[in-house]
Amino acid sequence: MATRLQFENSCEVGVFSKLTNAYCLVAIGGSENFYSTFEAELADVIPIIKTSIGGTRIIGRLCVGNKNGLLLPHTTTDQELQHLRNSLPDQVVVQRIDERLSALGNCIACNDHVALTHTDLDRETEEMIADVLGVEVFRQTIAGNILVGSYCAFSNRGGLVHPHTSIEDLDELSTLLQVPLVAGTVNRGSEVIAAGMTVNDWTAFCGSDTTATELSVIESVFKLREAQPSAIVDEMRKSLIDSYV
Amino acid sequence: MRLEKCWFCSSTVYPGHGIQFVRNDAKIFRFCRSKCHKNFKMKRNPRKVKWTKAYRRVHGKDMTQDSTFEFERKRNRPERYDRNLAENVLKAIPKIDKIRVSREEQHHRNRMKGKRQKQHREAARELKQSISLVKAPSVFQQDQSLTLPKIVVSVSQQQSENRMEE
Repeated sequence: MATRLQFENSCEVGVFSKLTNAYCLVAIGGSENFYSTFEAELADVIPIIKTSIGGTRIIGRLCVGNKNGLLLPHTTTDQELQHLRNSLPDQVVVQRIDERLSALGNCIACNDHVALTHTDLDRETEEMIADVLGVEVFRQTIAGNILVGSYCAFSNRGGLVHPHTSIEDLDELSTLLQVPLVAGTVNRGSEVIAAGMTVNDWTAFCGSDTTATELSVIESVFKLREAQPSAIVDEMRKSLIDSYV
Repeated sequence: MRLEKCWFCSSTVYPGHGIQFVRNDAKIFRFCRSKCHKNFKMKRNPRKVKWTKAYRRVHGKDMTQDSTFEFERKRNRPERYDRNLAENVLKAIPKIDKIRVSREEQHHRNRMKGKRQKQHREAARELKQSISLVKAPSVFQQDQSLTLPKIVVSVSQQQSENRMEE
């Protein structure tokens, strides 16, 4: 289910949190209300880690990750790096990269299989993304915006992109990503999708301005109504068994 | 708190010291003191300025390749905290430091090996070539023992005069 919440009277919850299938990062120093919303949804399934990155709270825009790994910008301090390494499960690789662009969350969008990246990213960074996150990397733009990480949000089941994306672009992107995509908004018409929401395979968190219509679009495209952690595992098992037989 | 190295002279920049310059392509330059910053602004190459670490490395003055340098490195992929490991690392640090110092001394000794003989040779040559600067030529005339004995060479001058007359 999608949940509506706020971070200190700001609806840009995707800026202050990072949700993946294996862990959830939340900005340090927020209200208890913000944390408990996450904990109510996720506490018994994945670890929720309070952290800062480079001394800032805009962690959702600075880091990028999926169930395989977490990439951090060069501004990350050694202490934060060590804290994240100690708090995250062992199978998640934590890596800091020396990339010129430090807002990795704005430049990279990914799920567990594919990643879209900013066109100006270093070749080394691209290799690092493929290596650490275990994904296929595509350099793309979304509706003419190079900040792919800001203007789209996708999980392994579906994705939401910038409302001005043309039908052809939508088709091209969904063939690249192999998930159904929909053009839409969050937070009462905000087009910076990833800033207004954060999503994984079974749950989503949206800013509290999100309207009921937007919420229903989100729930249907990310297939959150039927999704529970266990249901996903069942489905994955089914597909795995299918492919073996 | 990370102690960064100075871009120019490679010394450690301690908190509250120096200045940092960020170029518009996001490259960061840290300087330990105004001396290094001014040299940078004069567009000097640290490899060509004799007092920097970079110069000493390039010209083989300092040890450059050694396994002890591998320990002090910026790591981008951290290890999970382990109390025993951390304790052992703390114990190992002084030992590694001692090894590094002794290897550096060895390197310095190797580098200075032929220095004494070279100095001897140069001094001997100087004595031989420039003894005239120390003693005046009149002294040599008086005391024959200080100069080499003169060799008499016969010159046939008369023949050439005869030819002219013919």
